[in-house]
Amino acid sequence: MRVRVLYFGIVRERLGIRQETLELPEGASVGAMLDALAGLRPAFASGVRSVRVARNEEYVDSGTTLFDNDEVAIIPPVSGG
Amino acid sequence: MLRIVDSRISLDQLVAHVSVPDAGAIATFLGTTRASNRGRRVVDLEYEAYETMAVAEFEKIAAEARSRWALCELAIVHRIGTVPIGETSVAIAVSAPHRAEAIEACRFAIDRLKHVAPIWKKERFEGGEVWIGSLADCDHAHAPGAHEDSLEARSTSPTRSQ
Repeated sequence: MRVRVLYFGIVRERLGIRQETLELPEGASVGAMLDALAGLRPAFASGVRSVRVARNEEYVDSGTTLFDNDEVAIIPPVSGG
Repeated sequence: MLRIVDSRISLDQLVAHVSVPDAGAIATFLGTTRASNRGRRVVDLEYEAYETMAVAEFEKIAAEARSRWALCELAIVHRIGTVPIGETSVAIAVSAPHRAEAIEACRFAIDRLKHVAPIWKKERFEGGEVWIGSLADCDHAHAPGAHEDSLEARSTSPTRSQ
């Protein structure tokens, strides 16, 4: 299955991309996706435990199951206001 | 009125939005960009948002505020892009029949926004720039923002550019 991954803030800047499509095994969890990303993108590996994840614009935890065509956002520590 | 904008915020617009006949009080909050932070002279701040989710989070904040207090209207507007020093980066206006509810809900809204809204700021200062609350900094949870905010104590915890 494929998910679209969005990057913001310091993660976007470190990786040099705003989004990408990621191929994952059917039924992969958010945690599995983060592990895959950390392996795929060394620049992200050190920060992987510091981010939150949103699936289709809702915060989710690492056990949440992903589905084909999900939009997954990597949310580094927020600093709005 | 729950919005992300890329130009100057008009408090008058928010106040007009929440001014309704049943309101007996309007509380407002403005977050403004501060000229110095952690001993650095700040040049400006660059804000970025996951816009659609940010607005969805504003809607949740508004719904929760309405469930907790008797309110009339609530408006939240956050600016993105470059915000020069001294300008408003976020504005909140809450109207209610009575003042206590308006004030408490306004404080709740800004506090909650700072924890959940997917919005980020990069501080540009003389000699460098840093993402506030950046990954290296985030073991110190709730790293504060880079601007004046009368509802929240400033921190002296260090942030270093990557």
